[in-house]
Amino acid sequence: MSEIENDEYWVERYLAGEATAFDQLVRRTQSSLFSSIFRIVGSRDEALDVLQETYLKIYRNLHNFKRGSTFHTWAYRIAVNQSISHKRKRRLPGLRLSGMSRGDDAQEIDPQDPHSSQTSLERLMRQERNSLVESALQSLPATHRAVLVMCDYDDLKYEEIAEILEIPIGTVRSRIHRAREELRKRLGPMFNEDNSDSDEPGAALGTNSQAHKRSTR
Amino acid sequence: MNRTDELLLSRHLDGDLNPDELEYVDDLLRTDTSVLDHYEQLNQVRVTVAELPREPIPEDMVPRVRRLIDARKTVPLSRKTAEILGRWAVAAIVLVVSGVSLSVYWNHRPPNPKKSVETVEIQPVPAQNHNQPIGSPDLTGLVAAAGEHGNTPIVQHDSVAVQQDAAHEVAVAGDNPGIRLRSGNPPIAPKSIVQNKLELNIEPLPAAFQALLTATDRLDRRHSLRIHVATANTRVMDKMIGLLEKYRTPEVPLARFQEENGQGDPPSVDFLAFVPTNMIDDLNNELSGSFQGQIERDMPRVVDWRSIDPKKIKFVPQPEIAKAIAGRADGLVTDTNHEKTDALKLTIGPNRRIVGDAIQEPLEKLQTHLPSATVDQVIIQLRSDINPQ
Repeated sequence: MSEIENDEYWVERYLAGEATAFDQLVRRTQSSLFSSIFRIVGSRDEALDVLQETYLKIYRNLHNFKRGSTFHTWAYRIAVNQSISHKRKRRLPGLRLSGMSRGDDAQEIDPQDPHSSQTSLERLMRQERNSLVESALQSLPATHRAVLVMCDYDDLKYEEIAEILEIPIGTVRSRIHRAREELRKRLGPMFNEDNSDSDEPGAALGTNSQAHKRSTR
Repeated sequence: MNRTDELLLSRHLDGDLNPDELEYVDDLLRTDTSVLDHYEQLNQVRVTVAELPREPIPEDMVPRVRRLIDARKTVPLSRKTAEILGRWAVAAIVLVVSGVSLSVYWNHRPPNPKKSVETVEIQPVPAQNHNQPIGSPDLTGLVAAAGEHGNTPIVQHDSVAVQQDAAHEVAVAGDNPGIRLRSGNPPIAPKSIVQNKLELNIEPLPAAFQALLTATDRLDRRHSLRIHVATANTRVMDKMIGLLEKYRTPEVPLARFQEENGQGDPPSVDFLAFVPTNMIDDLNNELSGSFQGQIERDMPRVVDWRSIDPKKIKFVPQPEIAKAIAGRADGLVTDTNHEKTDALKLTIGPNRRIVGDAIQEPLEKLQTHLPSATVDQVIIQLRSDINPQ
């Protein structure tokens, strides 16, 4: 595929009347959008629903897409807002949807494979850990979870998040911080365990210097 | 370490500090081990979230999306058509928004003991004839909808049915995707669908309507607050109300919607308050100092339809609505997710030049019903199976 065949190229082709160009847009964006939606809504089934609704909305509004804009950013904005909206509608008492229920993904250990035991154990531990993080993430209010996912999972800048959600940047800052604080409290025992297992002090910490995250972009 | 310092730590992780703040935080990290511990844990959170796995997507996503689009097909607009219709979209937004304004106005009115709120029940229309030729202009429909909580459908009819599990969707007989409505958030329940075609003279927009536009502007404030509280503690609730009353702008009343959450769960309450920009920070600080838990704040451009008391809603009689709407828009479909919730969308049929008339006239008609009637949302809906191509 040539360099020029980016998302916007397929938007133009679709608007020019080539209906199947929309399918290309779905193929090109579905994976990234789905992961983000999943992290916000917390359930695979619901995330699939939201993703489909997102594409329906994109389909219906594609004529509003402005030339010169980035299609993926535009689609991402719709996806995030759909996800938040979905979570608000689903805000039912006692309904906590977890992305991964314990036991669902249990792996069997192959006794014939000398490495199986170790790798399976590692996998189980990783799943267990992810499950805990997922659960903690889902305990956050939808708006806080969304900004955290956008910032830490999707690596967006504060300014980008503020623009997408149409909120002041100060609100982005405070929401991200509150979300992290809440997760810090909930995941504290897990982190303490990690740190006690580690030989190096502060091994879980990437760096202490500011902007190390941004510098990796 | 105070709350401000904690926030600086988080911003430090994201490279968001200015040089002065950076120097201050670095100094803290060097001199205070408790701050360093805190910082390390925040970073662990950041890294942990970043390292969550990417979810695999089903291979059949494209056909799934295609099926959904086909099932809810509307006529997509060409770019040129969309440009032509841009200004009418604005007018349509005003129409929908005006419903909110009217309701706010209505809620703010002093009670009139002589007049009780009256609801006009309108019978659903008969089943649409889906075999009509393409381009037939006489399927104008309109829904006047009330803010309705819960999933209990209001309309049950052979030809017009509300799905039990999705009160926000209205399906007309035969499940014709062209006559499917979808509400905003939260779900609305349809009260009526009328089908008529009458001609009306166009009159200028009444000057009094400007007041509604002003109210709408206020609703659009970026610093409006919507706060969701779930608690059974009346003291907490009273305190929250006290704070909001203290800070809200006096022109717009505090809107409140209480939702019973069932056995054993505390009720949830949604508040909608409009707070002057210069008071936002003070209120935020007081809220932060007084409450913990799920408090959603700073949600601009959100109007919660549920904040409108359904008892305060009166429906414009069917003939009046019909006169106002019908016959003027023969190619307009609005997606009811207007900008207050998600987005408003117009889809236009072949006779798009008269769409503007169709939008303006309902505004005038609604205005003439003040103060005796309000609606919280008007949806103009026309068949979308009119394909100009």
